[in-house]
Amino acid sequence: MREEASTPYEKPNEGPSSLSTVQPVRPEAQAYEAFNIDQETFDVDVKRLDRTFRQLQTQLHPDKFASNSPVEQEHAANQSAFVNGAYSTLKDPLARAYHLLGRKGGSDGQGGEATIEDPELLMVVMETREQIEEAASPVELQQLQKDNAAKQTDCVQKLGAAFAANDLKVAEEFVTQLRYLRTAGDAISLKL
Amino acid sequence: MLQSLRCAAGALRESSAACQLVRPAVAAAQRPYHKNVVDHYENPRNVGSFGKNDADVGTGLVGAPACGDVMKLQIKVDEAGNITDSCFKTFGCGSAIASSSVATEWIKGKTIEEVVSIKNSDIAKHLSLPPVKLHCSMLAEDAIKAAVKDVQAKRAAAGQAASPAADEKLAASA
Repeated sequence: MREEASTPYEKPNEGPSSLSTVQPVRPEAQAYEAFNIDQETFDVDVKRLDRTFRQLQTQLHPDKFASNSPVEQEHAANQSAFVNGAYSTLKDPLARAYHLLGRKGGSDGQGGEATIEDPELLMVVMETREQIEEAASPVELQQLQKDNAAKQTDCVQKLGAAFAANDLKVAEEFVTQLRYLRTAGDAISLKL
Repeated sequence: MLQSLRCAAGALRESSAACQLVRPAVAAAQRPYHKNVVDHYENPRNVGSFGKNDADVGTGLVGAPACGDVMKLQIKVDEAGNITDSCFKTFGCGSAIASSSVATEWIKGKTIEEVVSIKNSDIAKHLSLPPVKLHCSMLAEDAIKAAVKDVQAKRAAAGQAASPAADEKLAASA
């Protein structure tokens, strides 16, 4: 589907022998492509992602390009930065969901800067945040943290199902929920 | 550049201690918050809640999904449509807290017809919000409108026509 020459990073397995051909990051380079994942799906094999990341990090290590021209060293550094960014995006379910929504042509799921008035969701968010605010003991906070983690897991699962069904509207709803759960989780961590 | 305030992303007074407004080491390199933001963030006005089921109370509950912010703004309205009291509760960044705090101050003593014309740009200007924070003031504007709509809906449901002009607007928007 994609030509080898168009990979966004220094090709694997060629190692130092191809050093004279370090290329700049292509403007159209994509996160999934950088990790050799053909299908841009929400469910990713995290183990494989980690493994590929380590390989790419090794291949793109600055030490390997010490004898290259400054321009090529810069290209290599940019390749490395691109791979790091792609890894952060793909590793985190929320970032991955935002990325996918953007790729699939729907909105970016971040709602731009639009205000939402979803009383059902916002009432729950408000109550949760008040619970966190009022929680006095570490035991209470730990329970809230546990609840929050369970809700996030559930939300990520539903997000996966929505993407699998290619239902972007539902996916956006769960992205919003996940975003609020994250923020609440951060608030708990801040108090613990 | 705005992370120092944003990191709190939560409770009002508690977070001001947990999260330094300006980290001294990097303060010079950062765009400092305008003194009005810092003032409203450190001493938010009118934090609290009214009974949301009370007939004379309007509640505006809005959120900014991009930041995970949630804002509740409430108004107490008399028979003539005057806002006699207002309060808010916001879980969000400093700009969102300051915007809602300013909003509650501005709407007190005004009529519900008047306050729906408050623009987010007025709030943003007062707080000197940078462009990336304009949506925080938008949230406050939307919260005011939602609160007015809520109290109007309650009145319409109760069959009161205490504020004919407002009821007409409601009818037009429905």
